[in-house]
Amino acid sequence: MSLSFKTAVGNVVEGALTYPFVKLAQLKFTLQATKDCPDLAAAQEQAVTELFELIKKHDMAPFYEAICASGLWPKPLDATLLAQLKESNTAALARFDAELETAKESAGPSEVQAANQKIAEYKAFIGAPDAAAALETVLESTVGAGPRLDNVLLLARFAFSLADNALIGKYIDRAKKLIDAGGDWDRRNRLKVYEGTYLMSIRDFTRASELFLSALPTFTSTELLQYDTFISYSILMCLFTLDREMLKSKILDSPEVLEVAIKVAPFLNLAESFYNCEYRAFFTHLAEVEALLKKDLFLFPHYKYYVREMRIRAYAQYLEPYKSVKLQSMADTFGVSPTFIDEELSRFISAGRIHCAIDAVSATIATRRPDNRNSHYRSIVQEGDLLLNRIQKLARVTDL
Amino acid sequence: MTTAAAKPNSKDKKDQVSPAKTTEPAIVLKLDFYSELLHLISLIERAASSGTHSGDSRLAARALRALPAVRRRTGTLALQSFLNDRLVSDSDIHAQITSIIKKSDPALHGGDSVTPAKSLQSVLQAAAAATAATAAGDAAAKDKDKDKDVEMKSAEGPGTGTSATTPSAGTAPGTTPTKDKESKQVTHVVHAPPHVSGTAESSLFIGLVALVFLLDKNRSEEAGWLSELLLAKCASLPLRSMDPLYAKIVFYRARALEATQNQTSIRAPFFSLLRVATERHLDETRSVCLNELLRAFISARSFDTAEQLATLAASQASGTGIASARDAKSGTANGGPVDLPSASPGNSTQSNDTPMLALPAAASGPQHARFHFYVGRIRAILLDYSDALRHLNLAARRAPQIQIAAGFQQHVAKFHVVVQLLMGEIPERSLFCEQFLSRPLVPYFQLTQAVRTGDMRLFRETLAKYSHLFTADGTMTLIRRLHHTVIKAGLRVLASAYTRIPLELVAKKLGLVTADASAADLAAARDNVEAIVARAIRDNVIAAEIDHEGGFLQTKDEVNNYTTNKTKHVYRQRVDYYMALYNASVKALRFPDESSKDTDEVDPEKEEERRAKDQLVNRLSYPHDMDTDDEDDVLLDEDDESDF
Repeated sequence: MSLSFKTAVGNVVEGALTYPFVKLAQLKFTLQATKDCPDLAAAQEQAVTELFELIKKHDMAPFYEAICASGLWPKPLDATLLAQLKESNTAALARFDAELETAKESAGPSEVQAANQKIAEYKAFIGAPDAAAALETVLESTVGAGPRLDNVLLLARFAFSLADNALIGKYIDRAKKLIDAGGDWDRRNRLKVYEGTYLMSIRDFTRASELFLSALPTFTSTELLQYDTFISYSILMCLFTLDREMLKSKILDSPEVLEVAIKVAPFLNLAESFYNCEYRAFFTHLAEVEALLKKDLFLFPHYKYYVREMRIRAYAQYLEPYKSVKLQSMADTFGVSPTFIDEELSRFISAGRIHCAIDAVSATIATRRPDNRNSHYRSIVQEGDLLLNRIQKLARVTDL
Repeated sequence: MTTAAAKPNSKDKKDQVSPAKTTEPAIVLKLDFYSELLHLISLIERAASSGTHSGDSRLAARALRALPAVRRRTGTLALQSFLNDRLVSDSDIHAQITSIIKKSDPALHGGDSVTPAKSLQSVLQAAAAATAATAAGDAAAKDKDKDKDVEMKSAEGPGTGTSATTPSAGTAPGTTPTKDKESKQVTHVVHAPPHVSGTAESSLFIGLVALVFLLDKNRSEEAGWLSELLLAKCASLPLRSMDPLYAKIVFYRARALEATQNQTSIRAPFFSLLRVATERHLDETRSVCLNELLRAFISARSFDTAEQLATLAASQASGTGIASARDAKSGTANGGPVDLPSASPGNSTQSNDTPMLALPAAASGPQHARFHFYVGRIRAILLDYSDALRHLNLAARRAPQIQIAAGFQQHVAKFHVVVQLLMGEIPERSLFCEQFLSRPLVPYFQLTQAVRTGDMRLFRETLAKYSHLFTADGTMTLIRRLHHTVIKAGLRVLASAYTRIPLELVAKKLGLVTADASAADLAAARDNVEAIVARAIRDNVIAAEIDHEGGFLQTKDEVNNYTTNKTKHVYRQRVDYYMALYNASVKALRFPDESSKDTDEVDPEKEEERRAKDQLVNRLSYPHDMDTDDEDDVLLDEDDESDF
């Protein structure tokens, strides 16, 4: 079913499973992030080059036109190239249309379906505005659970390339329903990666880490994420949610992770320093990872949140064995100044995230046990009052 | 008066356009606009001819609803064509509009500058000629004729009109002599055109269109004169069905006065207008008058007076409002500062009986919204925050939820945020994400952040950065009061994070001293902070004690609530309340009439409030068939009392 055709420049495109939808979104995101930032000119230049290669490789005339119109493209529009690309688009579509006609005349419905599929996929590749509609139509007429699922996942990838979270969520929901109706093991695993990525991009890290962990040993979804990218995401998500022991067994000792240890070094270092309680190194690695997160398509909106939560985890882990500790010694362990620690802790304590108290006179930190009973009491009173207010509203309706 | 109303002749109006449409397709757009206006005028005339049935004010209201759309396309040419077609039967208004056109013609053509003035005029004239055979030729020539025909009719000028109906005569002659030569036409009256086809009401409507046009073009002085004239005409036409039209004129009159910086001059004429409107049961006009007066008082920062007025408006169900308005008028007839002398002692008892403020139920939603907004602002300034919040809530709910009212919604939201912060509540974050609100509320969002975290530095920065905006919004006075709230929030944060903390550090953390302050500064700040902290401890903001010798603050450990009797009481209170509510509801099902009494026994304060509200509901439901909107509001209104 996958598509293979000659482009104007002469490259052969493999088909739907190798088309880099996510990379496209990532490059677009890089352009967006580096726009109007002179100090990021190098990164921008690189993204432009890569994207330009992709555009030429896949004859993406509509995409090229759209990105130039959106003002993200730092260079002027190359009219000759655009004309050339458009020409090959028209030629390819004409050829596919002819194929469709012959299929209609002389072949069965499965051939017609295949021809339609080709046209829709081609439209998705070149970024035609009616691509989503074409893919939807093809999906309607697809026969069989497996191919249908493939098409839904293709739509999901297409949505990923548009970076449209609502759309991605919609297709993943649809895919889940299809899987429940009957999907094979391979596609089930594939969907796990899709869903995990989606959940990660909407900050549901807990569920994302579960899905990533279960997909880790059998990862095949290279059409969505590269293997090392997937491993980095898995490390990040698990570091966020798993406790120390689980982290060791599931991530640090996992052969799948160690296989690409060099490629995912910053993330692995972060996890290791966290596990080994080397907080000074942990902070250094955290800074490195923060810089990487800022560049990432999915994690950019959450990088502040992620880094803050990781700091809280580290502080909590550090304070756990102590009854009281000098501010200075904690600062030394983390390689920062006591003032910084003081500020951080006071912020997190008053937000109820870390259970301790600072004695600023003797410069010590005393841990205190979380007061569950009192907090339960408070939440009961608070939520109870809300409930009563709602009941009161109802009662007033009967009054009048 | 010169405005003996001609018989409505609306059918002809529509016919006039059709031949013109066919003759010149290039200006169809303009003619569409023209025919649209004619349609509106026919609505107005139908409303006028239907007499005094108040229900028919809907027709006029419908015509006025199209005003914003008309407004964008009004130009001198449109006004000219009205003159040519004899739609403006009233000679005074005719003269005024003529002068407006004359003034703007050479320089600007309003929105009509696309087509050459002559061609459109000739087409329009052709159209007019089709029906009104007597219509004269060239418009410019006619203008000249008029200039010659101008004749002093001082006896019939607007001065008489005003003195007969409104006591604003004091201001009217005051402005007229200062006008320049050309504008003498205001007091001078042109001979009525020989052929008159429009009614007095349609003249008023066109006058209104011209008035809006002037205001849009920032020609506020002329707008002032025109509005004065229109108002005088209104007073002589006490048709209840024309209530919305009068209200609009009154509204733009106030705008014109405001634009000419006559902030205080609005008071006396508007009080008398208020009286007239009340006597004639012109509900919409009355609400507009009230709102304009409130607005004038607020912008003059006389909040006490405004509060008195608002309370009077609330107790308006009986005749007291009229009486007090009269009192007020007598107090202000000589133009002195308004002080409602007899109003406050005389009516205080009554206003206490009815704490709910309301306009006549028949007033339109936007007027209700404005009223609640102004009352909310007044109450906020007078430190009654919970009441202010309630009124601001109502204002936000009653305001039109469309793009055109976005400005109002934003303004309400700004006050809403500030008042909420003053009450110690943190506004919902979702408020700052709403479509029309997100951008204008950015300064207020920062303010909220500062209060939430108790960050004095951020608070000061926000204040410095956006002070011009806050002043422009009129929230500055309230925001200054937030200072204390920020300190309290900051102290609460500190108390929860520290067991012991030196007072100097408190001062630093609260941003009361700069980081590089000298020792003397620190010592001074220490004393200052000690006082602040002591007050906070006494006010139960934080549970702590000050070690004066050691110079630090020692927070008390949180006691386990279950070791005290407090939990028992708290739970008991809620269970009792719930049981009472339950019983009351059960009884309400069986004996609807007894129910309200039973619920009220829970809380005497509630009982009093409920009685007031029941009164209001009765009042709302009695004279008019209660429209669902109002019912809703009463309900919502009560819901806001979520204080347990």
